[in-house]
Parts: sequence; C-alpha cells; structure tokens
Amino acid sequence: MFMLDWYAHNSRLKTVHPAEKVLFAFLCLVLALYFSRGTISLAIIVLQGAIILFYLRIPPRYYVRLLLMPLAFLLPGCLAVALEIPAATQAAVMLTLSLGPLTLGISSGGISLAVNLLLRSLAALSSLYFLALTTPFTQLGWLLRKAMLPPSAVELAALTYRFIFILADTAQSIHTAQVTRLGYSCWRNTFKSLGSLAAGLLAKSFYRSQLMYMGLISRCYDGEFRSLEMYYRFSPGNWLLMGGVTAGLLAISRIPTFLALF
Amino acid sequence: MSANIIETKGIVFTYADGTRALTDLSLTVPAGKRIAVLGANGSGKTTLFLCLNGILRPQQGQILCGGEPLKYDKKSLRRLRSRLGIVFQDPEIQLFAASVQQEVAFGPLNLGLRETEVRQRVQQALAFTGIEKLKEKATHMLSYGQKKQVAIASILAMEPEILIGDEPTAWLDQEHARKVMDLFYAISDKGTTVIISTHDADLAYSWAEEVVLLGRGKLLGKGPPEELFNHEEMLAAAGLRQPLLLEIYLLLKEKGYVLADTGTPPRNLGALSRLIREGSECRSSS
Ligand SMILES: Nc1ncnc2c1ncn2[C@@H]1O[C@H](COP(=O)(O)OP(=O)(O)O)[C@@H](O)[C@H]1O
Ligand SMILES: [Mg+2]
Repeated sequence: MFMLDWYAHNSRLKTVHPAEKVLFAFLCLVLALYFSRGTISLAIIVLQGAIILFYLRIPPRYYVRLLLMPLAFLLPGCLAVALEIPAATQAAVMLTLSLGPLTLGISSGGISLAVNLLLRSLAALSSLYFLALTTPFTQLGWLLRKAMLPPSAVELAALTYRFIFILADTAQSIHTAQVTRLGYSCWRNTFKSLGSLAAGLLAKSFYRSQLMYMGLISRCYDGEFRSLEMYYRFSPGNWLLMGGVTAGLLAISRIPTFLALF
Repeated sequence: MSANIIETKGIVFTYADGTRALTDLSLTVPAGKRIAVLGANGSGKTTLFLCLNGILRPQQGQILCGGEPLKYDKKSLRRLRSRLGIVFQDPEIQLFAASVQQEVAFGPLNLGLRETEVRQRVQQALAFTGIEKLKEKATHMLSYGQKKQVAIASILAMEPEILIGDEPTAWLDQEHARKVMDLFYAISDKGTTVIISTHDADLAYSWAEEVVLLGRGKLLGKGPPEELFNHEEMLAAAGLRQPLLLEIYLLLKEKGYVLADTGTPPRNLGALSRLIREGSECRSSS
C-alpha cells in the first residue's frame, strides 16, 4: 500500500488537474456499474490495464498483485452467486452437488451471473487503481476542499493519512526490535510479542502525537491547519479524450450480444 | 534592541513525575551570537529550550525576551514564537504536512502573511537550505537527512530573530551533520542569533562563539570556548571531556612543538597545523 502512494507521487499524470483524474475514474466506474454487460466491463478492464501498464509504466507484477488482493473476497462471493439450490423441475442445471440433505447446483445462468459480477468488480477496481496510482492524497484533499467539504473534515483525513505512515513506521521499528531478540521464534513468543507490540504502539503513538503537538504550537498553530493554495489547469485535450472514451464505451454497449456468456 | 536578546532569571522546572530538570538557571543570551548549550544526556537542554519557547512554564523564576518578562497569554506566546523558532531533535515528529512545500509554508501562514509573501519565503528558505528540488515531494518519502533540512527550512521561513536547534546533528551521518552545521553557521552570518544544544564537546568547541555548560539542570559554566574548555574539572562535573583538538594542542605545546605564546588555542585542524608548521620553522631557524 505504501508503494501505491509512491507511484502516485511519481506518476506521469501527477500534474494533471485532480478533477479530471477523479472524473475519468468515476466515469469508468459508473459505466461499468450501470451497464451490467460483460463487454463494457471487459473494455474498461483492458483500457485501464493498458493505461496503467503502458502509459503509467507500473510493473505488471505489482499491478497483478494489486488486482489479486481483492480477489480473496471476490472469488468466494462469486462462487456463492454461481451456486444455487435447484428446484426439482429445473432443467438448466449443469452440475449438481449433494451435501447430505442439501443439493447444490450450478446452472449456466448462475455462471454467467458470477462471471458478470467478477468482471464488473474488476472494472470498478481497475478504475479506482487508476485514481490511486495517479493522484496523491494532497491533490484529493485539495479537491475535497474545493468541493466545499468542511475544512476540518479534510484536515482530519490528511492528518490520518500522515499518521498511517508514522504508525506503520513505529510498528515496524518495534517489530524489528522484537525480531532481533527472537520475539517471533515460536508460537508462544509470537503471541506475546504481538501483544506487547500493540501495547507499545499505543504508548509510543501517544507520546509521538504529544511531541508533534509541541512542534505545531511552536510554529504558532492555533487550531487551524492553514495550507498554501494550489493551482491546476484544465486541459481541453483530456476532456476530449474522456468524451471519446465515453462515446466508445457507449458504442460498445450497443453491440448486440454475440457471446451468450456476456 | 537590548544586548541580551533572551535571558532567564533563576528558572526552576520540575516535570509532573517529580523529575527536576532545571535548577535555578540564570542565563543571558547576547544577540547575534552563535551559542552552544553543552551537556550530557538528561542535563536539561531540551527542557530549557521548551521553556524558552513558552511550551513549558517554569515553576519559579523569570524569562525575559528582548528585556520584557515573558507572559503566557495567547498573544504574547504568539509573538514570542514568531521571534524564536525551534528545530526539534527528531524531524519525523516536526513534519506533519503531506508535501515539503506545505510543511515550509505552515509557519508563515500562521503568522498571517499574504500568499505571495508566503510563497516568496518558502522559496527563499528552500533555496537557503539547498532543497528546492524537494519542493513537491511527500514528507514521508524523504531520507532522514532531508527531513532534517526540511525541518530547518520550515523554521527559517518564519524568519525568527533567534533560531534554536536541539541536537541538530543527532543521528545524521558525517556528511549531513557537516551540512547542517554549515547551514547554522550561514544562518548566524545573516545576523540571526543561533543556539544549538549538543553533548559533543568537539562540535561546541569548533562551532560556537559562546558555550553554556549544563550539568543536571544546573549552569556549570559559560564563556568563549577557548576559555571554558580549559576548566577540566568543570567538564568532568558535567560528565564530558575536553575537545580532542584542544587536548592535542595542549600536549604539543607542552612538548614544545608549537609556539608557547600564540595566545588563543586553535579552533580547527587548519589552525592547529599552521601553528605546528610555524613552530617547527621557528625551531629550525633558531
Ligand atoms: N516528559 C518528561 N517527563 C518527566 N521527566 C522528563 C520528561 N522529559 C525529560 N525528563 C527528564 O528531565 C531531565 C532533563 O531532560 P532533557 O531536558 O530532555 O535533557 P537533555 O535534552 O539535555 O538530554 C532528564 O532527567 C529527563 O529524564
Ligand atoms: Mg534533549
């Protein structure tokens, strides 16, 4: 997850207006969710994949790993959709599975529903990854402020973001300190170490936040986080491109279904 | 402006758990000088700085800033903190903003300056510390040395009259430590009063114009480094040694390798080797 942040900060699209990036991601997201058709989802997966791999030059192995992470939730979900309890008279069941009194069946309809769900989820995910890989948090925060969200809410999000790194850093250093003293050499030690890691993390984080507060008030902090205004410019080319993509996807949605599965 | 830009009169500070960190400390800081507060770990350097910045309030005694007693209402504290900036020991803790630019802009924005002025100051501070390239970077992606530089820039941008650095070279490699000390030298050259704390006698000896020696929260001595470091017993009481350079110089002087009557001892290696060369030339000519 920290690499994600690094890629966003070094992305080729970093200087693009954040609103354009958010809009593009949400455009694809909405289209994927609105048209429950596999072709659209597939087109979006391919499009975002191409942008992420060939334009943003994210290493394929890393991108595959990013996509695989949510699959741990997705696949069981899709499996549950595919399985059904067939009515006695139903003919379309391709396969049945008897578990004692329970009989589960898989029908072609169920499979196509599950595949559809999987594709839509992957399309939505790849759209969000596009956003995450191109837009650092500073830009999202800026956009949220522009969107008239209460400044304190945005600041809270920004501080939370910063604290994630401090927390991870602290946890890492405690963990290293434990490992060097054989804290994880066996199950017993592992449980004990994990417990004291959690406790130590709390104490240390509290201490650090106190010190951080000192750092803030020594710079005349008075309860409001002020920040410099940032300026971005809209690019007509990007809007044309987004229009083109939308038109293309809409055109695809008009293609008659040529594959029963989709 | 009075000659002493900041002054403490008999301050006593005790932490909530009963640890007495400062005992009857009276100190004067002349304006425009380079001052090193020298003391072993736990001698009260950080506590002293937090008191000077009004973050901690001494239970007894008084702090004078520009000749006026320090008051602890919001307005007075704000004024104090705009005049006196602290670079904390651990930059990890000082940095909170998402980008370097925002971090450096934070102080000036809090001073209520206009945007153009803030941008100008940010630019200047980044240029002065030599980190213009990092402007758009995320603070959590910097190396430790870079974080330190950003922390210094973030205080510089507030243009304080007094700049305090708490153990500025702690945990830095030699290269970065030298860079940071050069930076503090350059800041002092601009006319800012610079105070650093350190437990490194060598560093204090070569860098400072005035050394304040602390031991267990007490003032043990004060003066120009050439004088102060002659008092070995005083240093021993603080748990410190003489600077290596001074020790070598004294040894060479005793053995007759340097002229005995050169007055002040050398403050850096170059000056010492010059003395040795002159000494040997003198001996060979006589
Ligand atoms: N928050 C605190 N609570 C209690 N005691 C503290 C606290 N901070 C520092 N001390 C104690 O105060 C003394 C001076 O500490 P400090 O000012 O940090 O010294 P230095 O910066 O010279 O190492 C030490 O004995 C230290 O243990
Ligand atoms: Mg300290």
